[in-house]
Amino acid sequence: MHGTIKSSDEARQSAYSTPLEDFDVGNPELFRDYTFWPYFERLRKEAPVHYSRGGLFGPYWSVTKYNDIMDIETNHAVFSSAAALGGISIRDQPVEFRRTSFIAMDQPNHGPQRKTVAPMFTPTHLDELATNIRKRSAEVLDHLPRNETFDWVDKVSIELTTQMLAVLFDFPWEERRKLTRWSDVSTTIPGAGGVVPTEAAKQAELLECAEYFGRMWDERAKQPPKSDLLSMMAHSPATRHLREQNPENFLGNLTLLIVGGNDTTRNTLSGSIVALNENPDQYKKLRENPELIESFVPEVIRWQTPLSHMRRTALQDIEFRGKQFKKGDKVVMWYVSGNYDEDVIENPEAFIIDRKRPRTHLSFGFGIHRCVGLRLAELQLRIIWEEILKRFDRIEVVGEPKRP
Amino acid sequence: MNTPRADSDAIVASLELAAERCADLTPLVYERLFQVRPETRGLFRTDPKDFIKGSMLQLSLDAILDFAGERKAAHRLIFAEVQSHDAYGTSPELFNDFFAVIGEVVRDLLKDDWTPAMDAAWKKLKVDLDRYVQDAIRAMALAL
Repeated sequence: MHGTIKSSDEARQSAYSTPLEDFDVGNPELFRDYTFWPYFERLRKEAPVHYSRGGLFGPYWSVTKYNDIMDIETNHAVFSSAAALGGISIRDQPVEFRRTSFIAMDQPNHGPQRKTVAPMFTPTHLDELATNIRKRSAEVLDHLPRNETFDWVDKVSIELTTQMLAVLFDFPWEERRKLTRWSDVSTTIPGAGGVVPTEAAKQAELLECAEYFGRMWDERAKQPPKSDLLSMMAHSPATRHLREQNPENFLGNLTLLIVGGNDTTRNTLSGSIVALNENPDQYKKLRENPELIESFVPEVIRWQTPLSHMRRTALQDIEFRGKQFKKGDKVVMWYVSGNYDEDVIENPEAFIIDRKRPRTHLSFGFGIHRCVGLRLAELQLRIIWEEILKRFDRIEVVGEPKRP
Repeated sequence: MNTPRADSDAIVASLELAAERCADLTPLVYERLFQVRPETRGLFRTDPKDFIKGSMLQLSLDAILDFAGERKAAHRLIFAEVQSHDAYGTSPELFNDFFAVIGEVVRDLLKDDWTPAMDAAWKKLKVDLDRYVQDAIRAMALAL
C-alpha cells in the first residue's frame, strides 16, 4: 500500500459542501492548513475550468487539468506572462512594483534574455557543477547532528540551495544567506508577523538587493566574461544595458534567478524527507535500491510540486473548454492540481518512486517559460540523495512540517 | 488545414502497429538518432534510465498524433519546444531529424506491413512539420 496525500475529513466535507461558485482555491489559508487537496479534486471532476468571483486576489479563472494547463502554457499568443499585465502570480503586484523579468515577459524580448543565462544549464556545464555539488553536499551532511533533533530545512535544504546559488552567481560566500533572505522577501505577501511587515519594508530590502548586485555587476562588467550568471548578464548584448537603462528589469531578472534557484529546490528537498517518512515502504525500497533515485527525484518533484501555480493574462476574448475568457482576465494554471490529474497520471495521490514515466509532471511549467534550470534542480536532488543514502540509514521527521 | 483523412489514418495505423510490436520505442528511436546525429548522445549522458528520452519521445508522438488528427496543439507545441531548446544550443534542424528518425523506426518495425500509403503520409508529415519548425526559427530571428 502506497501512502496517499492526507486530506482531513473536515476539509473534504467543506470542499464538497461549498457551492462551486463560492470556491476560491487561491485562498492562502488552504495552503497554510494543507487543506487544498479536496478542493482541487472537486474542481478537476466538476469544474475543471472555474471562475472565482474574487477573494484576496480578485476574480480569476482556475485551470486544473493537466492537458488544459499544457494548452494554456503553449498558447503564448493569447495568454501573456507580461509583468505589466499582472505577471505570473495570482497576486497582482502594485502597479509601481511590477518588475519585468524574462519569465514575466512575452516574445520577442523573452527569448534573448533567457538565452543569456541558459548556457549555465547545458549538459557540459552541469558536469562541472556536479563535482562541486557533491563536495558541498558531503560537507553539509557530514556535519549534521546524529541521533538528535535538528531543523532539516535550515541546515540542509536552505543551506545547500543557498550555497548553489552563491556558486551560480559567484556571490561572496560568507554573505550567502542574504540570497535566502532576498528570496523570502521577494515571494512574501507583506503582513504583521510575516517575513516583512509592509510593502514599503519589502521594497526597501529589494532595493538593497539591487544595490548589492549592482556593485557586483559593475565589477563583472569591467572584467573579462566568466561563467557565472552575473557575468553572463553583464556581458550579453541582450541584458548588459539593463542595469543602466532598465533597472526594474535588472532587479526582476535577479530576483527571478534567486527565487528560482532557492525557493523551489529548497521546498522539494524538504518535501522529499516528508514524502519518504509518510511512505515508509517507499523509503525502504529506496534504501534497498539506490539506483531508484533516478525515478524518485522526478516523482518527488511531481508529488511535492514546489510551485503551486503560474498565472497568465488573456490578451483577447477566447472560448476555452466551453468557458468564455475575456481580454484581461486572470488565468491561473494550478500545477499542484495538474500533477494529480488522474486522467494523465495513474494513481496520482500515491507516492511511487519507481513509476514508469516519472517525468510526466508540470512542476517545471511548460512551453517557452519552462524552468531554465530544471536539469540543475534534478541534478542537485539526485546528488544530495546519493550522498544521504551513503551516510544515513534513516532520517526521521519528528514534527509536523510548518508551512509559512 | 487538416491532414487528409487517408494520411491521418495511415500515420495512426502505422503507430498502432509499431506499438503492438514494441512496447517502448525509446531505445530504438534514440539509437537511430545517435547514429544520425552522434553529437546528441552526450546530451543524454545523465539519463541512464531513459526517463528524459522517454518524455521527449512522448511529446513528439503527441505532436505527431495531434498533427495527424485535429491539429489543435502540434503547432504551438513544436513552436515552444524549438524556442526553449534553442536557448541551450539545440539546433532547430534536430527536430526535423528527430521526426524523420521516428518514422524510420516505425517503418523498420512494420517491415512488410509498411504500406506505400504510410510511406507517403510520413513523408508529407515531415515536410509539414518542418514548416512548423521554420515558423519558430523565423520568430526567433525577429527577436534578435
